[in-house]
Amino acid sequence: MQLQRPFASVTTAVDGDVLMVLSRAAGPMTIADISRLVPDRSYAGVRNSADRLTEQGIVNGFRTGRTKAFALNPDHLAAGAVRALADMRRELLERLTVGCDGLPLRYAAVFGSGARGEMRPDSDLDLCFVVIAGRRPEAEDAVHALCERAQGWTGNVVRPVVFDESEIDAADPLLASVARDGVPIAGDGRWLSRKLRTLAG
Amino acid sequence: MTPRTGTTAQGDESFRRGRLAKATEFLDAADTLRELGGESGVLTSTSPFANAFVVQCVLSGIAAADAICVARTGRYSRTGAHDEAVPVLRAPAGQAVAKHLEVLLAVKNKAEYNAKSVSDTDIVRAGAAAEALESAARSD
Repeated sequence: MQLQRPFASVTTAVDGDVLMVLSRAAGPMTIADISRLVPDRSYAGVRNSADRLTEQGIVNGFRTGRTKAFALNPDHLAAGAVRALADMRRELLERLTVGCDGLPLRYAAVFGSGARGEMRPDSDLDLCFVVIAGRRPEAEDAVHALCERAQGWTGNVVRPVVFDESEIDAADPLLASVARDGVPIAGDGRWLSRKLRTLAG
Repeated sequence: MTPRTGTTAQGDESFRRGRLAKATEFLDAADTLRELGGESGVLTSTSPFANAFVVQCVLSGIAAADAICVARTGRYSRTGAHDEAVPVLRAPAGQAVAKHLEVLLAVKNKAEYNAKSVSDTDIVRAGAAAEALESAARSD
């Protein structure tokens, strides 16, 4: 899956993108509003999709003067499923966070394309784990088991990078990228940035 | 409360990333000020850089709020005014997230313009709120 495009797991049609936008919106959105959030789709494609989804009842259309706006129909039988699809990124982060509970971790984060919102369907999911000093042997099996589960949840190859706390090197470009882009799933989310800054003096 | 029209502006993905990067940068600056001015990493109202720390937290929180709003609606609040920025964030992100921005905007003027220094409580709450907003923007 692509974390930034969760509907692509079930459909690559523009309808998925439109539903994604409307399910997260604060209120009705015009076609122009929706189009801005799905820049790789044409204006006409978005308009046709919104009309199609309105016909199916999952989207409500509102007309104010000459402007038409659209919103997810919260009462539709499929609304819950649509929201669940839209929230898959958050759901994955929650599952990873729960999976890290109880492990001897100082810090863990999703990094790379998954964190930056640039995943392709075949992208790896990169996870960085920093284990509390001296406890790496007991953490490793659990980390790898969590990664196997995450592979099942997403369909992506999950690549863990495991550091002992004592191995953190301020000059390591991978750790710099984790600190910059990483989405924390364990420990104090600011720990790595602070550690790298302290080590760099 | 529905955000008033005219108080928001459009933002795209590159704007979102830029604002998120600034949220992180301001938070890093706040951390640095905490380390420089604090006793064992703890800032109090009498510490050097106490107000500067809170100002960096406020800047970080506003930038993170912009990133969250743009990710969800394609728009962000054009002002840091409390009555405009908070509803713009609350509408797509919910009260739990908007509360953090409320905390920061409530202490903004005190940290920036008042003669009196921020309090110990202001420092703790501003740090926690800024971290929570930056984390929410990264997770979005």
